[in-house]
This record gives sequence, structure tokens and C-alpha cells, in this order.
Amino acid sequence: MKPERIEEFLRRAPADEPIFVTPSAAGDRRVSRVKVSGRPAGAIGLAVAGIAVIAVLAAGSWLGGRPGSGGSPGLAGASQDAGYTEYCGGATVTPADIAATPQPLTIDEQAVIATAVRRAPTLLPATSWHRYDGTNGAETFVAAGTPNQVRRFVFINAGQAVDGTFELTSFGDCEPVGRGVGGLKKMSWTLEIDPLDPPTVTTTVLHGYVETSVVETVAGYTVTYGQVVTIAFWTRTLPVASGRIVTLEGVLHQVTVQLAEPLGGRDVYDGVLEHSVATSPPISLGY
Amino acid sequence: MTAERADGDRASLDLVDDILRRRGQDLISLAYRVGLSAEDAEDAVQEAFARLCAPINLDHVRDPEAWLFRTVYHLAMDAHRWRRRISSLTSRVQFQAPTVHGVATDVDGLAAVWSTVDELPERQRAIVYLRYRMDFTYDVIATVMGITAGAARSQGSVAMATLQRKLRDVDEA
Repeated sequence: MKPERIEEFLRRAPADEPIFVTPSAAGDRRVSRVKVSGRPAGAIGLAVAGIAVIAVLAAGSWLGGRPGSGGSPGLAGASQDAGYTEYCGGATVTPADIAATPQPLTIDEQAVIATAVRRAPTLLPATSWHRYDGTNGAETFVAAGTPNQVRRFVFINAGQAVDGTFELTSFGDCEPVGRGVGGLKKMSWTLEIDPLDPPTVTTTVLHGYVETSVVETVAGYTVTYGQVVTIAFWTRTLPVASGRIVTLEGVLHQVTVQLAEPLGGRDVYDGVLEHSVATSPPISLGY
Repeated sequence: MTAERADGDRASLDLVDDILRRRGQDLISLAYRVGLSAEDAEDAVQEAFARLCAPINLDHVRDPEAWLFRTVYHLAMDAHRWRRRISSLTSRVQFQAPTVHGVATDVDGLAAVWSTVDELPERQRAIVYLRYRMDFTYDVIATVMGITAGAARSQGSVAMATLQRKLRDVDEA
């Protein structure tokens, strides 16, 4: 192979590289956080001089204007078809939309879908794609299926490139989540550590991020004190008009947690706590 | 209690959002080519953006794009993440062009070149990616990788010589 040919190939992306899933091009300028779930739990050790005596406080101090028992405010009114069904990838649609007869696709649109299917043969063997028009020439194609008896959606996002060509931007699949309007949902969240001002034994305020969809708002958080102190954030679904809403994958909310007592001799874990620590009760962030 | 970012922060977050859209694929490809699995490459890019979004960085980083490439590169070079990739690299089959009459197709040539790149040492691999895919100058590559421009240029030359030697026998129509 000639050197110039090698250089030509070096300027092109091979087929084995992973596709970066970008937010839908909805024109919304709010930041969409790159996926934060799935990050490995890591212990952030605190400088501890002795073990703090943990007073057993009243369980379930709900902050955010809603009284609670400190356990789990129920997820009200959730069902597969109540209000709307949301799926990851961008568009929020109704089940009726998915069941409707799909519109005919243009040659460019068919080419984009074929590209996505070629790169990810594990996508549903969808034969009918529904097109949802976004802003700035962006489109989302959705298909539904029931592989292994589980209902799933696949989506393909596409948009106009700088040179005007219509190109694939991202694709993926997920199970739909039914959520009633006004219903509460417990959300995982991520602790934000300022390297110049990390948590100490006297820290009573923690900062972090909660990522929600654009149809959710952060309703508040609960702090449950016990051997494990658990801080859980809750989001509430906003009422939206039934129909097609092209959204970003996520909206980042900066949050602040006010603890009733200093961190003391606790370890702080980011993620789901999978074990308890007998002598140094940890704070579990998330659920 | 929740608080959304104040309006004063929106300009910075909009910049991050813009970089995410434009460079997300380039960054994940860099991490992947240096040796991470697809999942680890995605994690590295997530981590880099998360660090950029920290107030201490968001307000003080002058060149966010270069900062992100540098951060992703160094995350990818972390020893324990690199070891996970080793097993997949050593098990990757040496490229055998599925040829008829000894001639490879365009797609085969592309795969052949990048398979050979994956056999290079990780530093040379990163330089090749940044030089040809990103079209970075050696000065920028040096900034990203934390080496001198001369070292980047030297290692790049060695990498190209290796590629030419290994791909010499791959014929094309």
C-alpha cells in the first residue's frame, strides 16, 4: 500500500469505532449532561479524627415543601398509557403515535436508517419507522418492537451537516417508562467535588447534579438517617400537551443538600451503596 | 431544595454543550483508539466533560477543546483502564485481506490500516489519530499529550514508518 494511500485511510474513521450518542438537535440551549449513571462507586475518604457519634434523628426529613414519612413518596398515577410514554433518545410520544401508520420516507432518510442499522445490527429488525421533525432540520425516527417479549423502542437521530447533507447523528434503544403527570420519581444524582474545597468532617452542605428530562423538575430531596444516611432526590413530571416533543436527553440541575449534622467520620459514596460500614456509617448518595 | 444555574453561567454551559455536540465523537474515538473499550471510552469522555463543568475549571480553562482532548488522553492512559484493553488487542486477529487475486477492497484497506495502527504503542497510536483524524499540528499534539513538539513529530515519523513497512504487502486495485 502506498504511503499516500495509508494517509488517506488515516483521515477516515473505521467502522469499529463506537458511535457517540449526542443530544437531539432540538435547539434547546440547556446543557445536556453526558450519561452519569453507571459510574463506578468510589469512596472518597475523609480525614477523620475519631468516629462521630451519630444521633438518631427523626427519619424522613423532607425538604422541598412536602411533608413525608422519609421513606418513599409513591409514584402516583404511573401506567404505561397514562398521559404519555417517554423513552430515551429524544422524542416524547404517545403510544397512539407509535401505533399509527408511518409516513413514507425519503431516499436520504432511508439511507440514514440503513447506515444506523448497518452499524448496529442489534437494533430491532424494524420495518416501519415513524419520523418526528425537530428543529433546524433535525429528525428522529422511532420504531417499536417486543424482542424477548419486552416492549422496546429504537430511535435514530439525524440532522443537517454543515455542508447541507443529511446525516446520522446518533441512535440507540431502550424500554419505555410510563409516568403519570405529577408523579414523583426517585433519581440518582452525582456529588460534585470541588478539588480546592473538598468535604471535611465539619461539612454540612453538599453540592451535586441531578439530570432530568425536559419534562421533569426536581421536586426536592429526602434525607433518611440511620446507620446509613441516605439522600435521595425526587423529580416530578410536568404536565405537557400530548403529542410530539423533541427533547434533549437530559437537563442538568445543580442541587444543594443541607445536612442536619456534619459529615463527621463518614465515608461519602457516589452511587448506589452496596454494603454497610459498621463503624463508619457512610452517606449513600443516590438510591 | 434545588437551584438551576444562574444566567451568568449559561454562556459557559452553552459552550460546553456546543463542544459536546461537535467534539464528542472525536473524543470518544481518541479514547477508543488509544486502547479503551467502547464503554470505557465513553466513561472517559463523560469524566472529562464532568471535570470541565466543575466551576473551578469552567471559569479558568482557556481552551476547553484542547483541555478536553488532553484530559481524555490522560484518562485513557490510566494503567488499570489500559489493561482491560490489552486482552482484546492481543486477541484481535491480524488483518487478513479477504482478497480475490490478491486485491483488497477499499473497506478492507481502511480496516487494514487501522488494525495496523492498533498494533502501535499507545503513544504513537494517539499521535497518528490526532495528526490525521483531527488534523492537529504537532504543537497542539504536544499540548494534548504533555510532550514536546519534537517528540511528537519524532514519534509520528516512527509510527508512519512502521505502518508503511507493515502495510507494504497489502495491495489494492
